[in-house]
Amino acid sequence: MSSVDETILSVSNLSIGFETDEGLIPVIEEVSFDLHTGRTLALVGESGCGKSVTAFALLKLLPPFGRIISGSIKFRGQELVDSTESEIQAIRGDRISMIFQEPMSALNPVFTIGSQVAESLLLHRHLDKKMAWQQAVEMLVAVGIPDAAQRAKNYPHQLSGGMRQRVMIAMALSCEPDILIADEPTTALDVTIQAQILDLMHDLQERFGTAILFISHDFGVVSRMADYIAVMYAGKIIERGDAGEILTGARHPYTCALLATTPRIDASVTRLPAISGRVPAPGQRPAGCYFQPRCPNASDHCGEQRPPPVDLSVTHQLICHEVVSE
Amino acid sequence: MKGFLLTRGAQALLVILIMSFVIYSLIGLMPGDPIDQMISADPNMTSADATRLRALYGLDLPIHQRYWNWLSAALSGDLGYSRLFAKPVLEVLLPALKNSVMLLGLALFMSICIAIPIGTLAASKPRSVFDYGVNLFAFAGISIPSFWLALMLIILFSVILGVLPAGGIAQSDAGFWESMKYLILPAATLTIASVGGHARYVRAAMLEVLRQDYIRTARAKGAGAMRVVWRHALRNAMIPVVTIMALDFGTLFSGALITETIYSWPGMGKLIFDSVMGNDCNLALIALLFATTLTLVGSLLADICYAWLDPRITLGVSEQ
Repeated sequence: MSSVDETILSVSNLSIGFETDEGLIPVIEEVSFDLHTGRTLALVGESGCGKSVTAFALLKLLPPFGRIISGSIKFRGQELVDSTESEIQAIRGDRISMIFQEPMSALNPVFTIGSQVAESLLLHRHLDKKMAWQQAVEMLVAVGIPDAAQRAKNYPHQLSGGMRQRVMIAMALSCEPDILIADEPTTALDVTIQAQILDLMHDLQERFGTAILFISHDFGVVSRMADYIAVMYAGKIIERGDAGEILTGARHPYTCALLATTPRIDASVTRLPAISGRVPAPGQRPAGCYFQPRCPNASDHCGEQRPPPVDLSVTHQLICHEVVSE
Repeated sequence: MKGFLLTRGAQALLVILIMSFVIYSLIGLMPGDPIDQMISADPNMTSADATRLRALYGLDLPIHQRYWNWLSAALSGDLGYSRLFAKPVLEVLLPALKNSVMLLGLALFMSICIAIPIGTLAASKPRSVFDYGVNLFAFAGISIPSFWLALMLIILFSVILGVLPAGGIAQSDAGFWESMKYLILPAATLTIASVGGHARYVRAAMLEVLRQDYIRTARAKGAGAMRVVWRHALRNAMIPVVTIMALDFGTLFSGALITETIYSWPGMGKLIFDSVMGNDCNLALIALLFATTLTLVGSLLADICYAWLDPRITLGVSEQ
């Protein structure tokens, strides 16, 4: 097992485009981040800002019209961008696995949950069926499914949403992967179940030393999980830093606005603020800073030039015209 | 399962009873009755004779009474005589039914066996050359009129090549291969006509399934393209396809009139047509009722298939 904090995956200058009738439209622009063993990086942003596309790109599960234009994804020194389909297949579900937003539809309705968890083990560990089933049941126990031996014979529709997400986690972690990509894993669940699932992911991360890429739009959830936070807007990471630096010392106007929209139990606001407007669609991104049309602090030159990177500390960086490092 | 079969069986019996009345009434509405046929056959018959004969056969009664008389006779095992063939109805019907089931069963089986793989492959590579090829082939199959195709096949295989008979059916004592020779051309005609439609259903169902979240999950697990399509997707895609196939199962027993006629294949399609045109009420009634019954059996089989394919569907309430 690798030690905590070792860099296990390194994404640098990753750009992704979608092929359309009008040609290749950039969706993700020059995104860079590292994942460390036993640590959680949260990728935060509104819907449509490219979080999920970035996540799918790591496993090369982009839709058929998606293409990696440039950049590199290095996993344990292996370049994934130009890996072959069979090389990436060996990594998927074994070294890097993924859980999704909708536990309701992410499980195949016609197979038992036991066989679906066992499948990863059959594919990657080449166990015989009986062994794989046994290990699948053990995994179901580990994710807190009561009466797992019997439950394993159930079909997905016989389980609640929270239980199904536990099954997804069991499936994802059955081969003890180095990296878990969690794409809004609690968004479709109600709040008490959310907390349980987050605690479960936390416990399993400590047990297996998994690096987690946690994708969310909800700073409330992110504050419970993240060691590092990267905020995405219109296909770019616009601010990044340690969780504390972002949660209490965010400087990018977008991050600040996003934080202000998070409901807080200790604040006595009657109405939550909202960010007016919407994320510009790929292909319709404005000149200069992409956030400038919605930005309360925007001045004239924001619409003219791309904002420069600003280092606030060794870990805390952002891109903005209006923020200067002290 | 038992409760389900009993309920469905009872429902089916009720539907058959209602259908027997509907078919009986429709035949009763047709112009002409057996006595009219006798009049045209015998110019010396007077209208008094006709009235007497109508009373004798009970044809002057109101339709519900006639239906009741027919039903009580039928339930006691007397299905009546075929006027055209001068034989008891079942003796005429059963050989035709056997011939139709053989011909259409083989055609449906072939069609499914071809449609599932090509439809699936087309869906797994949409817009590929193979996909366009399947589409072209499907539309050609759907658009070619079966009488024309039948004639072309006869010209090619019977006239030019001389390897297969142009029509008819083997003697009852003929061996298996000899019987098959007669079956090949009509079965091929029907298969070509239906395989395109089936392949398109499979392709559409498959495309729908391949967009589902659980397919992405399977890929994220490290399953290869083949495994994703043939294990994770196919079983889900079969659920809508079974419906179409079950409907086709019903048509097995009503025959294929045009194809059977061109190949002189003595099946149900030809029999029903002849009995209706010849005012053979007894035969027409039972032949149509048989087709109804077997259509109901087809939809029952489809329901059982659904439950087998999809664990979310349980038969009846007692399962869990």
